[in-house]
Amino acid sequence: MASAGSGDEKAAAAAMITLISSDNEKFEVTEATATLSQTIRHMIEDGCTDGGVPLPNVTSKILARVIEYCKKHATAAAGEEGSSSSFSDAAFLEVDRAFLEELEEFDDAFLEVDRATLFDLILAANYLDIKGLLNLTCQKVADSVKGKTPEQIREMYNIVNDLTPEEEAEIRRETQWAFE
Amino acid sequence: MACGGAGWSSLPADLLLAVFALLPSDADRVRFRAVCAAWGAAAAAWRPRPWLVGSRTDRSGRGGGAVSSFWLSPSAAGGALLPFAANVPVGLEYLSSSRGYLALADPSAASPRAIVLANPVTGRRVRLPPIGFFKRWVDVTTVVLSADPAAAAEWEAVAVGFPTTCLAYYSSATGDWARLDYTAPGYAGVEHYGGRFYVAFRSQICVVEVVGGDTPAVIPLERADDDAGGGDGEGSDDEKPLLPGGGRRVVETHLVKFGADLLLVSVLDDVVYNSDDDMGGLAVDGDGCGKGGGVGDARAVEVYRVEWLWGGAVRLARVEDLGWNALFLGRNGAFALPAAEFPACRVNCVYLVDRQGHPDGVVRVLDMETQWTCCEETIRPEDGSRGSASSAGWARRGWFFPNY
Repeated sequence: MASAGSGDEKAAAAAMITLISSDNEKFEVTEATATLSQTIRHMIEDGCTDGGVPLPNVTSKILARVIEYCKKHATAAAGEEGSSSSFSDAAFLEVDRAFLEELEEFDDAFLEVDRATLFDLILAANYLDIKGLLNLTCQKVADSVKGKTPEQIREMYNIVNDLTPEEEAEIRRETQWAFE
Repeated sequence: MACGGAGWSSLPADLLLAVFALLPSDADRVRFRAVCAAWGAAAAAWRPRPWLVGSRTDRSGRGGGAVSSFWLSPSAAGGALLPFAANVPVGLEYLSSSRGYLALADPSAASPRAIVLANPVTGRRVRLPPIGFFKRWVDVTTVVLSADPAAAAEWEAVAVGFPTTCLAYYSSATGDWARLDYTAPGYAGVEHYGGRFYVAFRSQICVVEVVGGDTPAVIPLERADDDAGGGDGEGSDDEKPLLPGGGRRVVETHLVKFGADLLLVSVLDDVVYNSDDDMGGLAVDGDGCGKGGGVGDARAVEVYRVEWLWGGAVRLARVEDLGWNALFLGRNGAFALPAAEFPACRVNCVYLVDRQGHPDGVVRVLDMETQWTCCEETIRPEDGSRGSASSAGWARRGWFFPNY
């Protein structure tokens, strides 16, 4: 991962951004990492990141996880750019594939969280507008409810069934097959 | 309760929709909606697939081409078409559908009219130029796309219409329609399969292929019908229709991608099975003074798998059973759906849209096992104008499978 290392060094020479969580914890990140978030990217473009970026909707616990994700994927993006020029080189393609596999493993491990954390990650990804993370976390939820009955889903996500008996009957009447 | 409590049901609706869109099957989507009020509300506008989409316009092009959409509800009777308001552009009329796109045209525009491809789920629209060499614009019957124009760098389309001796071939590279002459006239079935377009009429199968030059040609494939023809005394070669049909008239021919296979489906005018009186009665209900021909006519379906032989020849092998799948045929790129994922579909059935051109169409559900119409329903537009003479006009309907 020599290329990843040099990428980090290059980025380190660039501007650093301070992110401030809702509980007032400060996180120093490279611009490359921070701009995976479209929300922060726009703030940087507008030049209003001096003195740090306050993120009142994100706790330090969740922000640390989000930064972990962004760091990994920012190096991935840098790696892709670097290798695109030598597209025909089989060795580079090999490296790319290994890196993509590693990234996939990272994502899988990253999603090994409890439901409350997953929930907060979805909200944070949405607020910070990080498309990849939002897709990843929503996919995790979709995969988890796949093939489950409504009752199983409620149990899994601690959801109270607040449908009126009439509403429930209506849904069942229209779509009986999905419950069989 | 402390932090989780209302949590997952309080997720903003757009995020719930994002999860909803990622669910693998329509069965999962239906169950998702039954979890709680918030989850149900987030996806309230959604309807199980497939849909039936159609429009009616009077012959002079007035009537604005009001488009009606229906979804297939698996009610106890074996299927009911329920109207709903799909996100279809206003003022355009329905021509056909393919790969999640509706092919529409503006009925008030001068002929020949431009075609608009519209994806009602994403809102994406693609404009295609008019097909100048089609004589009667109203009879563009099918438009089939090679790929989703939003996802593919290059894509093609084939349109079938009048005259029936040619096809229209569109390529995103040239941005225009090319006329491809075709030797077997009739309502041809088109499918994009294995990277190429195939066209079939009765038992003749052609491939659309570039052979020198830029414009592709419609090339008939040689048929090797040794064993299939064995029963009904072969002797003549090409002119002899391979498909028996028992002397029955082939009304429509469709090509359908079916898993890894390509199927040829013949819809036959079946006057033999004319005993299901009750069904016929249901069909004509409402337009009591129906034109004589409409009463009691029935349909049969024969399905063949295209087998690929060495040297580019093909052989048709009869398929008696669709397994746990259903076929959807009409004015649309034909498609197959597995009932396990789209349980609105009855297994081993063929869904036909009949009486195109009549104000009230009919959907017939043909069971492959019994070859009987097990369900039949008259389609009416949402406005409830019950096919009165004044509103009579071209009504074009086809199945539509939205892509998320």
